[in-house]
Amino acid sequence: MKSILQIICLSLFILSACESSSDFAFDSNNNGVSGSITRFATLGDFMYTLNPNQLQTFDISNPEQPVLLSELETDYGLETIFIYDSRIYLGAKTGLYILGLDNPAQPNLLSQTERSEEFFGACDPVVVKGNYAYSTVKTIVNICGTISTQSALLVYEVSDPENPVLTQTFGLNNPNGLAYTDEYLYVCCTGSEELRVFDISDPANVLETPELNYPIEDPFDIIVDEDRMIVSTLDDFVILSIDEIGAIEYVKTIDK
Amino acid sequence: MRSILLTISIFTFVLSLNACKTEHIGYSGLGKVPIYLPLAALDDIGSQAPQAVEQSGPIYLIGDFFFMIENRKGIHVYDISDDEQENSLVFIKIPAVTDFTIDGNFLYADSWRDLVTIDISDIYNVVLVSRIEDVFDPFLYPQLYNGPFECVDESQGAVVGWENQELENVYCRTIN
Repeated sequence: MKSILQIICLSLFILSACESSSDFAFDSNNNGVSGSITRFATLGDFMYTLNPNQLQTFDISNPEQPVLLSELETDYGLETIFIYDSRIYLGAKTGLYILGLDNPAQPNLLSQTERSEEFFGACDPVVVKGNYAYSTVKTIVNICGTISTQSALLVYEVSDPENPVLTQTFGLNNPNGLAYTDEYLYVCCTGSEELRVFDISDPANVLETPELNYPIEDPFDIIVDEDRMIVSTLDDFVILSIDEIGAIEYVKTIDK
Repeated sequence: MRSILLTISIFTFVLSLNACKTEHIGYSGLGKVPIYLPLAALDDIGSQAPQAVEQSGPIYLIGDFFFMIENRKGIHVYDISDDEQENSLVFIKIPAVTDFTIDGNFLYADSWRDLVTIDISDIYNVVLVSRIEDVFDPFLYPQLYNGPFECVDESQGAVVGWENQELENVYCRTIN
């Protein structure tokens, strides 16, 4: 009898162990990473969201009841948000916005870069690392429904957030999302059906590294998580890994 | 008799309206029309069995959990820790959603004009915890599309998609 009880106890224990290991539980210290094409971002007790002509600030200290604190009016055409080193970077149809977070409840505009006309109007994510911002702009009809006449990767030096300086321009074929590691910048190039790779170890002198480019169909956005890379495409996503020398290796695809 | 007269007069009135409209010349031909969802159905948020991806959208990774928007329908959730197995966990239905983020156990997303907060601590039984109304300006035109479409009539609800149809006398068009 005792042994039967033991077995029952044991099996209950195994069952519950199995159950808890399959439970979905977030580690609150484990910060998530967003793709570059998004209009939502959080920082501490605050969440920032974009309307086409507004940056909105919410207090989420009580997550069950967010409170809209402020709305900062901008020109029409805000598309993507990226927070880095207590600044907010916005990709917009008209160019790049940089905002300060000295008062996180009410971000203040530091600069608004007007792009030259040939780069006007596209769905343009921006990512920032160190003193440099990397932004893609493109030509064809995209998810934002607009077009510009040229496609490119634009590199800005942003150490003075009130005066960002365009330092380099690389022509690209319909670029979308982008992400980086310490050494490399990866750009989803939908037009040329590949991940385009740039060496950003010296950001003042960004270099193309065509030998590292990786072919992929319709890449749309990308998340880099240490040596793991996830690329969303039009209708699936692909998991890749990056080895020590920066070469990209295929892991698996999840599709329809 | 009176009702017939009334019908005729309404008919004439409608005809005259039409006549007025044709002076502006709307577009007739193939185009897009909005698919509406009544606003009352926006609260139908919850966990469902995994679904196939139709068109991917914004993405988010937290630990080994990968989230991907299905435009205007919901969010796919995958466990990507295993390189060999396909691990589609669940689909979080959020009508009219286009973008989101996650903080702690809470997922924040747009739901037409509203911000919704969803407790995802149990991913298989997510719970809508709050809705803040009328903070977002949704797209009132079909995206990834260049051409004429039937203008959105918000009194019919939230736009959860667009379908191709023969249009008659429409005045809206995406401008590129």
